[in-house]
Amino acid sequence: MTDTVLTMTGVDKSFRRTPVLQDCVFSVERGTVTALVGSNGAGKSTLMSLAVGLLRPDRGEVIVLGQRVGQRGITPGLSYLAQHKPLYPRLTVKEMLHFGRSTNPSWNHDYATELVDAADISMSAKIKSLSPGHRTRVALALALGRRPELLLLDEPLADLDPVARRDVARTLMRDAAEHGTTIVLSSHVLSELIEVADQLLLLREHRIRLAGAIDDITDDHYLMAGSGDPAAAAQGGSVIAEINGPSGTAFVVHGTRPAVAPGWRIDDATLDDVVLAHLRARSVS
Amino acid sequence: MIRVTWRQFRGTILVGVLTPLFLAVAIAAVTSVASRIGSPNVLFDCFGLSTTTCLTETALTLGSLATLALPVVLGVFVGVTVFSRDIERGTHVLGLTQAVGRMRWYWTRVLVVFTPVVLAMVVLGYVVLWSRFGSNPYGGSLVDAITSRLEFPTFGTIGVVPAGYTALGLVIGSSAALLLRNTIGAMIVTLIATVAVIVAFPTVVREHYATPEVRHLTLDASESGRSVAYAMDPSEIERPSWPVDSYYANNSGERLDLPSGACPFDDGQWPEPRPDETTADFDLRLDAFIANRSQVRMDCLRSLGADHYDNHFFEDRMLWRFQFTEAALCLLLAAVLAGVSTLSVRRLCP
Repeated sequence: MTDTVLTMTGVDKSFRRTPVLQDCVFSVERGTVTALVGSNGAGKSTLMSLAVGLLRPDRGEVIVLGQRVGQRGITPGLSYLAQHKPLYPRLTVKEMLHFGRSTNPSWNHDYATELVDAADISMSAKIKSLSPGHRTRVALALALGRRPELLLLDEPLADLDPVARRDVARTLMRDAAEHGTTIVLSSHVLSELIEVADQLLLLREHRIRLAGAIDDITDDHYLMAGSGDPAAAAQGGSVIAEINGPSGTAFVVHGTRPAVAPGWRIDDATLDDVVLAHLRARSVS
Repeated sequence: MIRVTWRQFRGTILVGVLTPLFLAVAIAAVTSVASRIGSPNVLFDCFGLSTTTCLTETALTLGSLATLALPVVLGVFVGVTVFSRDIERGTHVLGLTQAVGRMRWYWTRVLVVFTPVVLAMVVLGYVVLWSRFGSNPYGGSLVDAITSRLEFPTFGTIGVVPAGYTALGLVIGSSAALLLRNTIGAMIVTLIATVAVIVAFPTVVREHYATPEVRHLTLDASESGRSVAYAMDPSEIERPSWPVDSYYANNSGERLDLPSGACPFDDGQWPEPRPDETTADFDLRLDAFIANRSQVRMDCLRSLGADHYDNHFFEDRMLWRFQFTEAALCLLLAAVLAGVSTLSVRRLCP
């Protein structure tokens, strides 16, 4: 029996009559690291804001750690890091951690301090004087210091150099491994997430188009290259989209691999291929 | 939470507290200088020869005007920015996503930032009161000698009322910031709304705090044109009352709305001294003219139903009752507005 920590059922959200999310249905299992992928403006931040209770869905239900999300406050056990890494610029790092302690009863000050020290950040430094990478590390310490069961990170790796990106990813992996924290992190750059995530949620045109374990998703897709009608060659498989790879043009197909048709070649699909195809696919597919 | 809020808004709180306190110290210092160089019983020093005294009086008047303006200024620059700065930077998301609820986040800010500012305004209000009325029975300026302390602008600069106006201005500012989510827009709304409140209290609301006293004047007294004698001993002089209404009434005490100019004084034939006339003779002729002129007017008024003339006014002794009533009203309005603006807090989104 699986233990879900985040469930959305039939969630719609619009801003001034412009739909952002439509009939969103998915669940996140405890102990997983889920990559939330979608192009810019796909609704990733809106989806996370709904889970945190910063926004209210127009329709549908959001359940976090067994509780229906309202706007009275964040669900106990949930922690959230917004895309712009909000921190009070005039406070020092030490004061920022004190803020975390005074606003969270489950605060683990030693752990938060350890995360900041590991990033070699001075406790007396003012937030406004920190580099983007160090700001992210302090914001992450603030989110993890709450000892969350579920951690939502909106574009946590954006604006980071490769070294800082690796360090943040390592911190997240360690936390997930040592404390069993369930992590959902979003990005529009798949390569940022592929090393840390084991689950995938793909948002396109306001809906969740793909959800599941990354290994299962790549196994369920394959590449088909050749000439002729790809739908016929797929023999019942669903042609997602045409992509251009290093070895030329190919079709990404979802379904059981068929016998190779004359004039066609079948290869394994990578997660990059699958995600790219689903992001490109039109809604009729 | 309180300590963190203090740390976050330390600069804002210090500016909000020190501005009224510096003004209070300046007013106290100038008052002290003024009391050394001028007689406490001399009226209107600016009409005398002492430039120094005139300067000190002018400084005190400017201090009073600044006290009247401070609730607006603090509402615009403290009330608005306590939320707008966070909302424009997006850092309000940080506060809203911690374990403490939205209401605690809101009320902690409101109480931690606004309370010391309001208390500083209480100090300023009492310093202005002492400065203008502490030792001088006429008050510190021409305005105090001829208008009541219950009237605009004096009433809003003394005692507890400046603090009441400030509390309301601060909450108007914070509510506008939460509702509009735009700093400049919220500042403009706060400026207009707070000025409107400060104007509305003396013009519309204040006269309803109590039933005014009524002085009945016979037509003979009201229309005789006799002058009023003033005592020359300052200790005997009562502070001016606040007239709120006056009208002619019939013998049942009902108000008569006489049309303007219904019974004009006949001033067209005002007597002039003749070349061959002594002063005593002219005075007699003038008195006869005035008596006849008054009699004509009284006859006219009586023909229209007038029996006497009523003056409605509040005496200066009502000052503290009115002060506490108006301050309490301001706090009540501020509390209601703060309660309503929690709806904006509930709806606050990234």
